[in-house]
Amino acid sequence: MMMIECPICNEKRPELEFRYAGEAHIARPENPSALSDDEWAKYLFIRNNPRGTHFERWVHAHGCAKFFNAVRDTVSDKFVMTYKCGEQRPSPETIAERSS
Amino acid sequence: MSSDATNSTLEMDQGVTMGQSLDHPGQSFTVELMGEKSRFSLRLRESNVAAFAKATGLALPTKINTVYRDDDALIMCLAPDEWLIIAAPEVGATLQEKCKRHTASPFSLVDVSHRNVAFHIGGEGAAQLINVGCPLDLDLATFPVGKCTRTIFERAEIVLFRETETIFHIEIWRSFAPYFLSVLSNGGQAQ
Ligand SMILES: [Zn+2]
Repeated sequence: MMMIECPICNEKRPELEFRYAGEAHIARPENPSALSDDEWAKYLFIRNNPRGTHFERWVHAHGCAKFFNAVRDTVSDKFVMTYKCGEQRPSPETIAERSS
Repeated sequence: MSSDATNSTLEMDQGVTMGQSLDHPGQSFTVELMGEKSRFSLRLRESNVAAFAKATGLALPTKINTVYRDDDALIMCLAPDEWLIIAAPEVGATLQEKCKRHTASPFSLVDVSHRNVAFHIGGEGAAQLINVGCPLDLDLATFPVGKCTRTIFERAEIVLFRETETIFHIEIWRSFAPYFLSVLSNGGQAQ
């Protein structure tokens, strides 16, 4: 079973306790009413679907119940690292270091 | 472990009955339904925890997945802003009154007394029995006495707390209890 490190609980837990919650680092527009329909649709629906490093949100649903962010490789399904919401997107150097 | 299925006292057609236990002589685990409890779910911002503890006199543990225990209550920290408080039924009202003393910031205290039932799983084989449905590593090094956590048991969510080396306290939503017992019962027989 895959183990995922929850950055709030600070331990590795079985994947059964977690739920995927979409792409990370998508900021809600400050002023939605100023946006065109296309721009709003882009915010709501358009997501990256990279082959390789993906930044995504997860929730420790059957644990602390908190959301956090993760870097996962979509090819190998390996979790490179996890970090708290609000923290900066990890740099390519950090990711390369953690991946090796 | 092995067991005699005909000896099982966990009869699912009776639903969950108080005081029944599954005890396998020569076997190393017991399952016992705990009596009635008062339960509260407390939600409070992390930044207000110290003020809340001071005003109410409740010693909220601030480290996630740890507990505070005294004669009155068992307080489990399930998340940085969430606690499950368990006490004897007659202590519930007093706890509520204590919490009302905190007026400096918003908090939520919900009476969930009858949402859950609780079981004591005890004996040398207790951890092994729980692992029938729960994949956590229950070795004393990784799950020491005094540790608690919300986790999963097969398809049901539970709160697991290690009271002593060989006694676990499991909180589970009431309607999942027959399911929980049937999984435990099957698991116990298979071992
Ligand atoms: Zn967690």
